[in-house]
Amino acid sequence: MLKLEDIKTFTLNVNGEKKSVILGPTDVLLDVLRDKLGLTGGKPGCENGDCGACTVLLDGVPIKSCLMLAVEAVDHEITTIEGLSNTVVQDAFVNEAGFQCGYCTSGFILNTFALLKEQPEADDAVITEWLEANICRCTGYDDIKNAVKLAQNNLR
Amino acid sequence: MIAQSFSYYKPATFKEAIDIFGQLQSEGKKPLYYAGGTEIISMTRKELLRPDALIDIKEIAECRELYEDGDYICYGSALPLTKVIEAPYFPLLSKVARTVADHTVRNRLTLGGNICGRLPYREAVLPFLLSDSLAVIGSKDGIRTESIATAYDKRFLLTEGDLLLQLKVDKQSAALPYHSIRKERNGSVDYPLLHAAAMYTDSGLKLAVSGLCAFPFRAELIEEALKGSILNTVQNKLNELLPSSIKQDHLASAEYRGALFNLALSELVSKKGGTVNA
Repeated sequence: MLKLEDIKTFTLNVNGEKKSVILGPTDVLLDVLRDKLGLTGGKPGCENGDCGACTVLLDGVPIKSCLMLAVEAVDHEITTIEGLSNTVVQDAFVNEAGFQCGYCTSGFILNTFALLKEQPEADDAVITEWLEANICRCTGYDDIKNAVKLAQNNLR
Repeated sequence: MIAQSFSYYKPATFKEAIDIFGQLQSEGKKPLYYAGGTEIISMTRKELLRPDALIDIKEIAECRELYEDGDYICYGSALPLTKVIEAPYFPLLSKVARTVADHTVRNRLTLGGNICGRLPYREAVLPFLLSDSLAVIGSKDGIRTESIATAYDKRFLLTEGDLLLQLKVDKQSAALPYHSIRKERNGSVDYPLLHAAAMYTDSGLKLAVSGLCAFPFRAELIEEALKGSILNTVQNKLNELLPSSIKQDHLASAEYRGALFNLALSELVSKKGGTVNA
């Protein structure tokens, strides 16, 4: 049985690299990524699981990193926005201006990346269902949805 | 950041989980079973919960199972709702679970966590209340299986330290025609003002409700009343047929929730025998 009663050194697999990090039982994944590994692409927003600004991929599946203990991520593959580079999804967000202030953008991009990998032919209902997990306080939803559709077309 | 301390344990078997729970309790500590974490982390962060230890049940084999076998479909309590929704066995459960939280949260939020959680909605229990399902519970004495009719009254009646391992549903019940209605105030990703689910059998309509009262419940008195009375009569004496008063909060008044329920009841009754797996 894994026991974590104090701090201990673990290896986290982040963006294809093994990172040695000291974790305590109460450390939240979002805080570890930002404060201990310097990966600040995931944002603290509501810290209540509502806004999706902290979205990362865990084994390719989008999760809200503010709602997960870091120790739970040991032996899993974590992908943050820093792990994506020049992807079709990122290009589409640029080309469709799928962001305004940008605070929510990393979450939207990671969610879209996972969606189009899992369901390349996702219809509008599925896209809406997935994107409901992320909030854009600038309300740029139309451009974000256009970016998702452009990425979907470009990936075909 | 979580500004309080707790220990974390990840047992490999349910017996280890039960044992460590008992050991921590005997040391005067307050342990909690932990699965998806969506509720426990957010409530602990706000200091609405103050656990001394979290016991992560996600590695326990029984809690991760999802299969159909013989007469039953088995759902492990640590399955994320996304897996439950994608499974093709129980259409009403897929439909109801799909309304809980949002897609990303459902990738972590577990079936057992939703059903045994502290929030008053616990909507994923509704299909199980309707299908006369079985609860498989781990305790220090081993594993026992109980009918949900005895294991649930306003919430799961678990002795402290007991762990809900699985829920089993009879395949014939899971295939019954059904209909469900969910009403929210602020859009689909919101707690329900009302979530009413019905299944239709030869002997009548079975009804389970969340959001209307302070807890989800099987509305057996309403089911019985509908067999012997016209709908309007049942609707007029609603308060006598509910297990507690209608909830009133910042989202809606009791009168509004009652009106929503009467409308939902009309729709559910009108679907009687007509809609199969819609």
